[in-house]
Amino acid sequence: MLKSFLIFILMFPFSQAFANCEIEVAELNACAEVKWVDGPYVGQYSKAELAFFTEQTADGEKDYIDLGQEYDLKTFVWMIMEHHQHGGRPITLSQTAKGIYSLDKIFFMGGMKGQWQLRFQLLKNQQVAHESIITVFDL
Amino acid sequence: MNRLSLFLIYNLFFIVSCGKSPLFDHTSETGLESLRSLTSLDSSLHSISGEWNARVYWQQGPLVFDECQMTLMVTNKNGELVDFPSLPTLSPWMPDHGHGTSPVIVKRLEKGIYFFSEIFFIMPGFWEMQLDMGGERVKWSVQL
Repeated sequence: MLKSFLIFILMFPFSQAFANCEIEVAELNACAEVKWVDGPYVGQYSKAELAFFTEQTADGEKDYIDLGQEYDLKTFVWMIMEHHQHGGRPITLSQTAKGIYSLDKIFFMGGMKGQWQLRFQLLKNQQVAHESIITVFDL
Repeated sequence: MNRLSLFLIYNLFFIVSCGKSPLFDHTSETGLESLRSLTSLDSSLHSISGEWNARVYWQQGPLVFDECQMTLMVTNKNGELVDFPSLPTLSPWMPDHGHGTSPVIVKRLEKGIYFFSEIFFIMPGFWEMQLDMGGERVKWSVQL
């Protein structure tokens, strides 16, 4: 009984940290969020912002975190079709502030049936340590 | 010194003093510096009307995933560089899959010379290059 209680107490802050997570990034013990600055569109460029943060207060304040030297961020679009899958042109990625990245020239090409996804990966020693998949269009 | 040596020196003087062709002497401009390096991937295009001919020079690529760049040199029937009334557009297209790729950027470098960048072949396969210029569509293919 005491053991269960201790586990609950120990887990409580951790679960709270992810309580309002749109995207959970367990490797960083953090949340991620994608905001569309322009779009998303099919057949024209879209722009988004990707942010990493550890906590969110009731008034919406976020504590943004740096990925540091340990992780490299990779973002790309991916199309899942019935018989095959493929990517698109590269996204232009730039860091605009601590924990905040601008994703420019995101292009979801038209004229195909399938699911367009926005994916981001955290690479550690060139290996994928984390991947998040956001389905943007189901065409 | 015999007459042959004098003849060779005389000709060498002219060859050395010629310098770069005005066509290729634009090294400060993007893309043109490598016009001289023709490869088997370059293509010749001809208008249906017979009014112009064009030559495609790949500066980067064509290859899959990375950015490709090419220059288009347009000449009239007399071999003189000529402009189109408006900027040409390039649309790479995969007929087997029924889709293209992201928009290609085109820039006029000088009379009759156009530079295309941000060409992304997003997957291997048969690509049809659709070039719209001067009211005509000209196609050629790229297999990747």
